Amino acid sequence: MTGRPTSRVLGGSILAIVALFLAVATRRADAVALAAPFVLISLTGLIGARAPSVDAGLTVPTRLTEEETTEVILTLETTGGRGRARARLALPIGMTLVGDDHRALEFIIEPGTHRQTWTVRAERWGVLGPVRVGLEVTDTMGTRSDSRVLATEPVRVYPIQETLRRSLSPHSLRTIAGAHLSRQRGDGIEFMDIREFVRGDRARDVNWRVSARRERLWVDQRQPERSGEVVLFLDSFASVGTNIDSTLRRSAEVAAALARRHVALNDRVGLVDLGGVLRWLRPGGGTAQLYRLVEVLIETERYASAAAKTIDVLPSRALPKRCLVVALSPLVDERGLEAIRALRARGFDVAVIEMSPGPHLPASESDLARGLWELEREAIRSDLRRRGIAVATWDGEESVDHVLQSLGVFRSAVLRAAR
Amino acid sequence: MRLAFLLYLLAVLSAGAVVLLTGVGETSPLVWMAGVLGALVALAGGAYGRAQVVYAGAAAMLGGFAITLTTGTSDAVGTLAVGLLVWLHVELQLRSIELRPAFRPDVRANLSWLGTLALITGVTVLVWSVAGVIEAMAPDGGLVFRLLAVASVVTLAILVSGIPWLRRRQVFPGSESPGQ
Repeated sequence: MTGRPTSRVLGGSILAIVALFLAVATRRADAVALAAPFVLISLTGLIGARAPSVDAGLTVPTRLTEEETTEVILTLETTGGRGRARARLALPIGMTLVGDDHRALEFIIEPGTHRQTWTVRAERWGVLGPVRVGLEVTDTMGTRSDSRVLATEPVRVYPIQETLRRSLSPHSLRTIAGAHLSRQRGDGIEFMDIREFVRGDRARDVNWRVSARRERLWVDQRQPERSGEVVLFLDSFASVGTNIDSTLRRSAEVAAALARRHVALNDRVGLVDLGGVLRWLRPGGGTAQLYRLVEVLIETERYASAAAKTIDVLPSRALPKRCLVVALSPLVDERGLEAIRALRARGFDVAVIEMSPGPHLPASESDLARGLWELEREAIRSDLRRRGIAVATWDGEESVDHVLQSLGVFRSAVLRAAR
Repeated sequence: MRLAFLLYLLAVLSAGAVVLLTGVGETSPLVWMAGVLGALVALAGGAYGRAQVVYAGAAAMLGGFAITLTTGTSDAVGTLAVGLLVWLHVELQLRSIELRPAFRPDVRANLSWLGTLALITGVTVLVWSVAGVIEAMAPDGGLVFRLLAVASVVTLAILVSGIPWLRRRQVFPGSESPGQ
């Protein structure tokens, strides 16, 4: 690589020609001073100078967690002489420069290895796009240059997940051991009831205290712990807020926290993202499934679509028959609402965490308009509750555990009423 | 103060100096007009980051000074000063344009640029001195002119033949040599 002549050479050549013409035309020997600097620069660029040959590499960790600080490293392997390098860092939205680092730098490069580092921080989770550096290398006189753009792979930033202590218990559980108490009697730890001893009962189940009092053998009955299937349903038809903070981003954050909690409880967890695009992940368990879920969740974005998409487009494997569907929705798009109602109508066990758009609304809204809007939303919640769907609102301020607790209370009441 | 702005201010000062050196002692409004217009065009081009316009303005400034040369108002030292100032003006403007997208040069980069300035200044003064010595040794005045004419023809030939190289070379599909 020898580089291309810069504007110094072209402009200098033209001025040199003009000045030489003037010197000859005016027959003045001292007029050579007008042409000399430009002739020197032009001849250097055309004949003498060569931009150093540079092998450049750009590295940055492409997997980060939110608010993590890391370094972007530009490595230049230089051969063929000394030169000047100008490097300009372009960060994707959601990544910022920290400290006293400057985004655009000019420095001298010499044969050997030169490393230039910038300290950056991931401000928001998601797939942020590549980090780019525009690099221009010139000879020391700036007469020849070679420029290129270096780019990394898109940087994936994972959210800092809230640790949940509560969870939602599916109404129907699997026969696999887990952490949810089954309503059926069986082997377990939690005491449920006592009954009279029948032939075949184990001696260790005998409740000696009760048996002594009633002078007959009585045995304890226990609740077995079972696992369930949970499908996280993201309504991405609409999102209120900005790229940095929106209801959809909060939905994804809560979904990631719920997935982590339920996977830890040995549940099988799946995902359905219904919106402009349809994405789904069939339920599964274990750490690998958790990683898969988070990978899908950090790519969550709203894709504008006017298509009336329903749950009919979902493959049956995405929604097992007896799963608990936890819908995360701002409840502002009729298509998302209709999907939730349709799920319930088909007999799915549905709970809704409403991502409140309130904090994202402009403060200039009049009280009357705001009041009417709140009434409308309350009507939507009431309609869902009438259908047996637990609804709780999360405004981003309180802990998600509180929301899960209020959902649990409603779901228990519905169960009791059903009995 | 940002370095690019400081360099632009220095370029303004150098342009003002060129206009003064060109116009002082001249009665023809054409000289002043050419100098002032050239300086304004160059400064406007620099302000908008257009190097080509800077060169056009510098050419106009040189044109204005050419009238001074023909009338004989300027002496040899004045010619050297104008030559260096016009070149310095162009160099300051180009450097200002280079650094304008908020580039922060480190100390060594600044020293390297200053070294380049010193080198070109030194070579220019040397060439000017040699021309002056030859002029003094050959008082008939014909020798330097002939040398200058021959050197000009050679330099022009190199520059003109080099200008087409400035255009990007087209690489046609299939024309690459094996292994490229």
